[in-house]
Amino acid sequence: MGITIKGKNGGGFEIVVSAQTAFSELKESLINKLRKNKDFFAGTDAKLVFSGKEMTTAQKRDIKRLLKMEYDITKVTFCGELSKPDSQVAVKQGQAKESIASVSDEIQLVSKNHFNAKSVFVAHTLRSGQRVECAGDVVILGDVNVGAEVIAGGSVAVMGTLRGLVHAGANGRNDVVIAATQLLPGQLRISGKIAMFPENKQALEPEIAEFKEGSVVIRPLRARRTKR
Amino acid sequence: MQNVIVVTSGKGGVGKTTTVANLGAGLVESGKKVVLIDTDIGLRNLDVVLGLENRIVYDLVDVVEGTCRLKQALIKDKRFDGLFLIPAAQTRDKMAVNPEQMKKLVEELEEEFDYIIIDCPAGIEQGFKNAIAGAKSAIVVTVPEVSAVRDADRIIGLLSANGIDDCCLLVNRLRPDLVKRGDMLALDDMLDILGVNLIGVVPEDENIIRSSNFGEPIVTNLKSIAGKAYRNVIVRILGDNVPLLDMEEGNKFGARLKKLFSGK
Repeated sequence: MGITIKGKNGGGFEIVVSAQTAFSELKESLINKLRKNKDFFAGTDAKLVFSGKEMTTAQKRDIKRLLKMEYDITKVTFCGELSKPDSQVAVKQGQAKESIASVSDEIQLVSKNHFNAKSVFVAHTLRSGQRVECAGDVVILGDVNVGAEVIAGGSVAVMGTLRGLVHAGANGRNDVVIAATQLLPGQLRISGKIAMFPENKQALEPEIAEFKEGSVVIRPLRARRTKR
Repeated sequence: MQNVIVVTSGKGGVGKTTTVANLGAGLVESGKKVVLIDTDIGLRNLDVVLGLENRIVYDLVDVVEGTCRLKQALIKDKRFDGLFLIPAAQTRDKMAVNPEQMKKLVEELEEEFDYIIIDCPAGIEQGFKNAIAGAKSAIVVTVPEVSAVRDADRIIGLLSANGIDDCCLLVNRLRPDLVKRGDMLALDDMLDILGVNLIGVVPEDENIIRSSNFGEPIVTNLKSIAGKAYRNVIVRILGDNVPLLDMEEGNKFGARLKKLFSGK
């Protein structure tokens, strides 16, 4: 795995990173490729666009710093850079036991080639810093703690407390759901859209979140039967 | 708890070094032979907290580099019979030692000592990797703060990924009064998130400040509630059960005493 540098029409280069590449490997490959072609990339005219791998803000900062200091390249962008969200929307309690979280932000969708597993079953709690990626569905038998991440092309079910980050339908599918015994995330992501939750959201029963007509709707897992 | 214990946390300043010093001083009272290793190279503190800084001749880096024999770097604590310290180096950094060297050192020390307690630096980089290299059990120290718990969770995950599953939690600097007011995380919430066994709770105690500055481990102070808590942790390490301290008790008594003497 590594990186491929493609020339783009209209100047600049696209650096395609295989999503399976670890960040440290990416840095090393980048340094090697740049060193070998120093003259080619020198100067502030070079525009670099990174694509193919979702990187954290810290990682992007690291890359930008490296490119500026070593090669004086300042025009660096990453595919799908988020603009500052202008409105965080709270989850509204609908009348019929449904809550609606309006969706305000977007995040880069992951390409279908990113994943290599069809479905994943994790038989333990995901701790902070642990990340699970899968093209299909993911089931976690345990909690997803804050700082843990689940990125799935399909749906995600957490048989425990969901406090961390889950992105279902991460490659564009929106016929996906996120369910948890206790749904208490700070934010949920479905199919590239981000929905925020209030601090004081309660989790009194198992809940399921899905995408309905542009909103993320939360409802109890077990449908209530109304008495006639 | 096994015989090689690493005391770690992720977060800095939660009480790892204090814990190591006190566990060492307390364990030898039960007749065990204990060696403490400071792996915080470049920022050594364990020697200070034990009051042994003036006795340092050789350190951990000298040992792994072969500059001295292991025996020469072992500082015998004259107050606590059976307690030894291998201090860290102050003028080097954490790259001066690697996990392989630590494993070898621990193996050598196991032949002579009943317990090896390793003081881990904050963070998850080389210092952490060195500290956990030879360890068989871990005590994760945390304070009742959201950020500390977050870091503790990360650490527990990393310990598990590195084969150390015998892991328990020590909650330090608890303030029962703040917990009651809802300003501080409660024990149950922390255990709910972290999902590991509790080896002890050490309440906030201002006597710790003096004990650190003067190099006198608090376990020797029979009036201190933190000292009592550490002594209980040692009992649990040795395999016995003892209920958690009623921290309210200490506060109530102190408050009553204060009232009595203030003549109100």
